[in-house]
Amino acid sequence: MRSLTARTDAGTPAAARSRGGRAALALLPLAVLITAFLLVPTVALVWGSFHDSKTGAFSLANYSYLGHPLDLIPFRNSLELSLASTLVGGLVGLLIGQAIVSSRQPLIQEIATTFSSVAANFAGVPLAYAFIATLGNSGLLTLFLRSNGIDLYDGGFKLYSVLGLTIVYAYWEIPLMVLVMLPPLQAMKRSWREAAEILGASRWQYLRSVAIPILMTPFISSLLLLYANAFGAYATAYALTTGFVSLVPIEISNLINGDVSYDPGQADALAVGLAVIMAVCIGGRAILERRSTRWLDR
Amino acid sequence: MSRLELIGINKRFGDQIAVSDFSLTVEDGELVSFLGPSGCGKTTTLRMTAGFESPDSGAVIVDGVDVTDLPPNKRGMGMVFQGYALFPNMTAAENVEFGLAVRKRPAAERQTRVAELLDLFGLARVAESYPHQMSGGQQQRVALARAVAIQPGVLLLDEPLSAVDAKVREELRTEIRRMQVQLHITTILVTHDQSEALSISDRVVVMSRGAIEEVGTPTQIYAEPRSAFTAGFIGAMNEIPVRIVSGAGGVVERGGRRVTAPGAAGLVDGDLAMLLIRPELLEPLGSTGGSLNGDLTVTGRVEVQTFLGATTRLLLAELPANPDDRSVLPAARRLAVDVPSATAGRWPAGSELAVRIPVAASRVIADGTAIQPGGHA
Amino acid sequence: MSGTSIAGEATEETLPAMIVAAEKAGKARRRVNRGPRVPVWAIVVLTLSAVYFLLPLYATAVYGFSNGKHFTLQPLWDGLGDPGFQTSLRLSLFYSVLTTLLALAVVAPTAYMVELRFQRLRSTIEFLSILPFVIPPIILVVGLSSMYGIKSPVNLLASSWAPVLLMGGYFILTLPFTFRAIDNALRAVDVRTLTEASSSLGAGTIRTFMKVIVPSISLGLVSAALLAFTTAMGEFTLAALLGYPTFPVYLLNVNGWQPHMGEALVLVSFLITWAGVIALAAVARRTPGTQVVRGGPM
Ligand SMILES: Nc1ncnc2c1ncn2[C@@H]1O[C@H](COP(=O)(O)OP(=O)(O)OP(=O)(O)O)[C@@H](O)[C@H]1O
Ligand SMILES: [Mg+2]
Repeated sequence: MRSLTARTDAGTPAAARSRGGRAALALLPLAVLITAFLLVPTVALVWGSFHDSKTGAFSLANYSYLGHPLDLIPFRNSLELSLASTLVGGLVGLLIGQAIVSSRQPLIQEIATTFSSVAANFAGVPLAYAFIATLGNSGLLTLFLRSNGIDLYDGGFKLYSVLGLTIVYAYWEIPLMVLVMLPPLQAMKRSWREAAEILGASRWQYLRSVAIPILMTPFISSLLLLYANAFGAYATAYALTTGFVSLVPIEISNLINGDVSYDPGQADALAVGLAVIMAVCIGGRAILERRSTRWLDR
Repeated sequence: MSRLELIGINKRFGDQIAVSDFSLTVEDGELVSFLGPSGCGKTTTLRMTAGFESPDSGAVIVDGVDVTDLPPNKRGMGMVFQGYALFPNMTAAENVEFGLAVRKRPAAERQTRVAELLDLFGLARVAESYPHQMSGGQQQRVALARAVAIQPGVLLLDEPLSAVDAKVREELRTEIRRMQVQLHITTILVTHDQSEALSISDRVVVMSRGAIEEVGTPTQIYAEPRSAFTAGFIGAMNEIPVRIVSGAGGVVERGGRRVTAPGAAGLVDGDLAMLLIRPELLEPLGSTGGSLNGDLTVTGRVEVQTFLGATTRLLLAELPANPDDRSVLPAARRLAVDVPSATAGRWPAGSELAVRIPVAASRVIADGTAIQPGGHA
Repeated sequence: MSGTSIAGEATEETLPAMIVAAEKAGKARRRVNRGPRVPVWAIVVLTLSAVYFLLPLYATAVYGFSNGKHFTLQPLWDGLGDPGFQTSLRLSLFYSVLTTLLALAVVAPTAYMVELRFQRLRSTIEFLSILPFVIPPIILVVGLSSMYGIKSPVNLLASSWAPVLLMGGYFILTLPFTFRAIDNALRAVDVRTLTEASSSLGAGTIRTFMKVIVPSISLGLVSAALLAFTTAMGEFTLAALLGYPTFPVYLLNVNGWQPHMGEALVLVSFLITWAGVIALAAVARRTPGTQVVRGGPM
């Protein structure tokens, strides 16, 4: 906070400085809250990841998971789950987004957008239970299929598996994709397609040379958002699996809350690993965003 | 390079008639402008020519070949869209090359052709720039170069200059004309800017409410409009009420003077009619009066002066010569008189001015057919 | 380049050999007028996705309004009358309202001051506003618990400061969205001119803020409030892992032993989210640029 005020006041006359000082006071509450509840805990977390929880001595032991294939299982599971739900969400969401745009019906667009906002905000415990009621062992759809001779669970399906979680995660990944891809899809000018057409291009040539290159940037950027979103999700996974499927967020929660597995140092280290993945996704997204706003002026 | 024929084209959107019974032949290498108020169906006609809309009835024929049912990518036409529609992911050179690439022309041929075109349009410097890095004028040229790169039989331009500023616009329209003549491309130019249409077209099509109002050369359209709509739409036009004295002899009366006027022949005796005359044709008489030679005069008080550059427009409110006139003929609406700016100082606002109406240069039309374009759209 | 090299061949190859046989007048024809129509594939896509998105809601309703044999609203009445539900909902409301008030009280003046006098801090604030994406709840909770948890030297959890800890966490989680909503609103009105006009009439900064700025950004404040409130109402991770028995935490537990009542309460929770998001969508429609989706990992 002190550095912030110092910076803004540099080189101003004394009278203005006192006014600036008073104005800076308005920034104080935010600075305090951010420091206390974001910066300090983050520093504590990073510090903790490099120190033994018991002795307090500097140690890299918490990061030993990086070298042990067995300890990387949660990362592998999380990676798989995030990748699957990102691909499903990304492709289906793109398809729905284009269907909404192609419908050219304001009413459909309105309903679909509002519903997407609602669905993208469904997550956590309620969503998990909605799916247990649908696809759980005695879920509505499970029973319906069973009475028609298809037994999902005999076929090896489990809701609390990576496949099951993918289906559930898709419930918010798809609408999220719809919401983030709608603006670029709507920004695609009809005259681009017509210009390509009149120049002799087939539909496929237009897609390959114009539409796909233009949409690629926002598409990948959206996938990164979906990926980060799936990777960091905890509530849904926990409610569905009660901790049975080994995912990074679930391992972290076991390490800070479990009786047997309590090890805050390792939790810190896992959290740092997770944060790195998040940072890569979000950072990549920020870079891509800048490029796509240049092409699709929105 | 091609002769384009539009035959009996009709198009409606729901209840709305967008284009009705539109027939036009554009000769090989000719530049024809579509001019008309907003919503009169210019774009729709152009889009049906390109194949983006299909007419409800009628045919589009290029060099004797019916292309009405061909998709746009098989028509071999070039088009410049209103917002240019440059592909944002391609450089200027790549945009120009696109049509050739789609046609799978050999790479070497493509490169020389693109280089030639970029040269022709003065774009060599921005060849590697993306659309968002170019000025509006440059984007416009790229759009043109891209459209003519495929050697289109017909070039369609939809308000190509509406998005650039006034100075660039004049420059570009001359350039479009130069290019069009040089390449001898049959061209349709849609515009709502009459000076654009009049300055670079071989012929102008004036449209209103989806139909052709009048077709003619720029001079015909401006100097001898055949319809009241055209007269009112193109340039400023004064409408002066007169009474038909003899339809057979083409004689009209105003302010007690009887003169023979073009267009009056065949109108009903005793009816009110409108005499149309352009502001620049009205001649100030000064205080002396002068010889009238079978012409009419109007006297009025100058209300406003508007400086237009070389000329200044005076807005005149008529003063009845004697009170009786009022009862016989309604006073003219405000009369616009264009005088050389150098002499405008002689008639400051509030001063009185008599002008001569050179009847031979005017045109009489039956009253009630004079339509203001504003109320028409 | 010469005109003829461009004006060369063209017609034969660009136009098909569809020679007009009949005389031209005879070519006039009638076509069926096609209005803008929704493409079939779009209808299929939208219908299928509607099924996927509505089925879990339907299944939840079927379970929630049944006692295992037939339709009844009993589970809902049981749930609403359950003391555990009432206590946990009250707790959730308590935190949500306080978080909302805290967010409004802190973010609005700060955003105003940044817009008015500290434009240079904008990039810092924007960076801070994407930080919670990189640090999703599951990471934040590790930091918070190692800094302020039971076993830390600054044990807020066991003190009377415990409510502050959860509020602080929620404040951070909602910061990117509340800040953006308010900042968008501030940018839409010309804050500088408004302030200058107001102070030229003799109003002080605080008076200007309360009487001029706040009314002119009221829609932004409403959407910020809705965002903060819905997020806090549905938040599970921080509450569960720090040990606050809020409504989502209770929902997880009750479902284990009373599934029908649990599913009925899931519907209640859906309704709360819906109300929030739909209200938000309604506000967002009137203030372009407002984000409806929280879009962070949950
Ligand atoms: N796709 C469409 N659906 C419904 N109505 C349309 C459509 N396209 C055009 N119209 C209507 O048809 C009429 C002619 O439109 P058009 O775009 O051809 O006019 P325009 O002469 O190009 O006007 P402007 O100068 O404003 O561009 C207008 O009334 C317009 O509202
Ligand atoms: Mg148009």
